[in-house]
Amino acid sequence: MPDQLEIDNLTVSFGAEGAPPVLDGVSLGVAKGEVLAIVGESGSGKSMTAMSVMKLLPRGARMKAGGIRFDGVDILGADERTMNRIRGDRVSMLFQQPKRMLDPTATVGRQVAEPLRRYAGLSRHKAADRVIELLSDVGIAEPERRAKAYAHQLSGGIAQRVMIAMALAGEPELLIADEPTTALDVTVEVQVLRLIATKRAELGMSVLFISHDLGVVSSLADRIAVMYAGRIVEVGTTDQILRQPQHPYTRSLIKCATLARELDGSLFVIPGDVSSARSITKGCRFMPRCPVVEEAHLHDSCDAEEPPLSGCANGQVSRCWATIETRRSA
Amino acid sequence: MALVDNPASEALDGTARVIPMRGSAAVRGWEHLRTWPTSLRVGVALFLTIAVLLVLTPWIAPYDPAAQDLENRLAAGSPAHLLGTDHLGRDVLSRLLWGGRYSVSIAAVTLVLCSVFGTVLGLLCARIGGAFDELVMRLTDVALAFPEMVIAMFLVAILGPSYGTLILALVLTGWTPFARLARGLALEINSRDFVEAAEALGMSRRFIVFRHLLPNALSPLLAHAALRFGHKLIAVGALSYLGLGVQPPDSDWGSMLADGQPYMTRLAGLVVYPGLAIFITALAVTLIGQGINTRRNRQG
Repeated sequence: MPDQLEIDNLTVSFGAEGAPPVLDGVSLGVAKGEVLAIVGESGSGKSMTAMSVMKLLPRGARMKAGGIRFDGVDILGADERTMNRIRGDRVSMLFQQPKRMLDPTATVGRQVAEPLRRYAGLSRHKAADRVIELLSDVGIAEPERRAKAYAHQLSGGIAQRVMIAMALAGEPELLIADEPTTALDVTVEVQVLRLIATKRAELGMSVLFISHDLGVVSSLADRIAVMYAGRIVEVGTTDQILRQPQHPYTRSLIKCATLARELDGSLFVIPGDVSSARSITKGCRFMPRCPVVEEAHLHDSCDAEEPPLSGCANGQVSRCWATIETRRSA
Repeated sequence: MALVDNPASEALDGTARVIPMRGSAAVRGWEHLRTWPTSLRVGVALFLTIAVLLVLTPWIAPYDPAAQDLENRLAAGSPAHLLGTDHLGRDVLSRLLWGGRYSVSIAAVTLVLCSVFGTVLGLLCARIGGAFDELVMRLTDVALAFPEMVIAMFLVAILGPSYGTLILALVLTGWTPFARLARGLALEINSRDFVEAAEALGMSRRFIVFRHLLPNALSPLLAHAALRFGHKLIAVGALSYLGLGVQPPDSDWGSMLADGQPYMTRLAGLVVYPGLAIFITALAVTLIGQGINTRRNRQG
């Protein structure tokens, strides 16, 4: 069975022709009912991938791909009207700052009702009833009262629940969640994650979950894709990624997520930052920050050529000369 | 439905009933007035009073505003003529009321036309961008560079003074600030997150303009319109004062000022009353504008 969402060799760039792309040859597939998480630090291209699927890239972005298909529909070639029928109805999205995602001039009830009236064609009255149902469905107490509230009267957690209610109103087949819990505090985060997990099971929808936090992702995702500097560096099941990470970047991320400490007691951080990778045109992009280069004595190959995404027998793929080398000698 | 069994987490999340709702969603009707800033309340009260007086003018004006009584010229205030009479013996109070109908209605019509025309152009600029945007914005530069009064006088001189010409002249010169404001607001609101969220929900461009852009731009636009009203009132008055506006035997506050000027040393009321009328009306609407601004800033 083909994947529900297929992204094939997606490249996105800004500015002048020949400028280093923000997304470089990204290929991903999300199977029906699966939760795929994309993990990486800021600037790695996670959100760009999500926005490409929605075709909502900022002005001036240039998109090239072998194809983006959702349920067989070619998104890359689709016009605005086709896209608007897919957005919100079949593919929904959650965002990072839920309070800013609500229009300050309209009540919560009215905003949640909008997609209902638009897609399900409900009357004003019926939509209002359905809104109350939806709100109580996402665990909002006193939904009648909340429906009359404005965005600035809500807490971040409630606002994200409202956004979830809105996103799920059309019973979408795919939910794209772009760091939906980043702006929330930890207790609320857990609740929102559970809510997403519950709803996913209820509706049988696929989820593309974007996060910089492996800890958050590990409880929810079936598979994890790790991105670095616009490239996918490793893909595997959650188990594979967490138990046997192949790429040194993934290993560093896991180390960060466990709050590992250095010998002198300071918190472990990955040295350098992702911006250094932009200028690298050949060779591995992670090399300047890579802890493995020295010990593996692979300087020459890492410098000369970017490693391909290569897989082990169990389906896990990664992009590192050191692991390719180890596998070959094993 | 509690997602986490621990009741404390409900409280933390705000799903528990014990947490009172912030803000004032429950405020309704007259209670709502209390949340208004003082300037807004005073402005609205003042303006409503003036509006009611002007609407009721045909019934409450004591005399025909054009009826002359040459025996009784330049009389001071008396029980028969509360504000006295002018140089042709016409009752000043009646003329003030009838004149106000012209002044205020011309200013209001002009303002509505200016704001609608300007806002639409500004929104189009923000939406279309490119050469169209550039052209319209340079046009506003040109319009702003010429003094409004000069253009208005020029037009009235060509087309001849009439109600229509007066309004046309004021609209032609008055739409520019609205276009600039609406364009700026549209660009700013467009970049806000909820527009992106609406796009991700598959809402059409037109829907976003009417449902998100306009409501969010409305209160700054209204505030600006109210602040411009005083300006328009004075512009109408000034054109009439110069004889380019309302023509005799009709009169408005501006032409009353002009008529009264030669006699103001004998009867100061002839210029003081129309001047005050312009001043108070402009003040009332300006207060409303400031009130809207204050309210908006408070809500953040």
